[in-house]
Amino acid sequence: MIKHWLTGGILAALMLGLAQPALAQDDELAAKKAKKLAEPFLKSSAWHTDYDEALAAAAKSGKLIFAYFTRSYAP
Amino acid sequence: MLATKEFTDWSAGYVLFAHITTQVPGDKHQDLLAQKGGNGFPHLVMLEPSGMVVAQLEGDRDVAGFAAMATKGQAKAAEIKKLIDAAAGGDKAAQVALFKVRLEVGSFATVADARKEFDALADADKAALEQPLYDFSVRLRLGQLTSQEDALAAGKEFAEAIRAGKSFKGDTGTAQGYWSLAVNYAKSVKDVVVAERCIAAITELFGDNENAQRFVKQLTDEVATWKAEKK
Repeated sequence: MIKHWLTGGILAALMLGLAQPALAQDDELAAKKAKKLAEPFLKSSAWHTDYDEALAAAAKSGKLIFAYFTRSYAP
Repeated sequence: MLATKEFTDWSAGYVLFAHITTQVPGDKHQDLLAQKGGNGFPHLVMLEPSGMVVAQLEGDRDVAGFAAMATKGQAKAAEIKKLIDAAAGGDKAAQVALFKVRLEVGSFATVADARKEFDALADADKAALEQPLYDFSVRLRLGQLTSQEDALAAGKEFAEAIRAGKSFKGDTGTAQGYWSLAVNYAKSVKDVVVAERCIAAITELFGDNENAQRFVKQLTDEVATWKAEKK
């Protein structure tokens, strides 16, 4: 059983985590997405970035999916 | 790590999927992180071919850690496959067990999707699945918080359930968020009943932890103040 309780309570961590950056314009979000898609790791191996395509590839091959969740809208 | 040859060589036996939450209008599956049990970045899991989560990264973010995650995932995927096959063959017990697993492993995109299948079950089966369904709704709610106002609203929802005698009974990671938001709401309206139930739950789950003990002591003192104000 996890016994830890964050200093100050997870409440503080949740509240900090919800502090959103200033609302970005759509074109700024699209530019950030393009920058993320250009990162080296996506070129070094055969990554799918479309969930439905990844599921189809897994169904076809019978392989498990290694899923890495990241974001582009904020650091 | 993900750009290394070591990772490329190890990962050849798997389908690699990178989900990027972009907040770009129109982009698909923007809630996928929450669906798959994540509430922060980065989040690494193994999925079986229909999308159910079969393992989460518990070790280091290196090939050894990934390999350990994959080994656990293979075993869980094999169990799920057996259930799927038995359920498809008409085994009622397997169908119920599979529904419970699907609640736990991010198989449903929304609570409404899960409830639709839940409502089609026999009453005797529903009784055993009410708690897993509630736990699933809490995990999804926590993973989809959008603002501090939304967090307060979620806390109010949790507090109402707690008042009605229901509460989250799943993993301790989610439990921390659940009870914290309920406390936050209870404090905002000085709800003694909910606060005292939160104190009892936090003590039971995290009572060995010094930070939790301080948190509980502080909340207990606040509740005593609220009670005095009401006299």
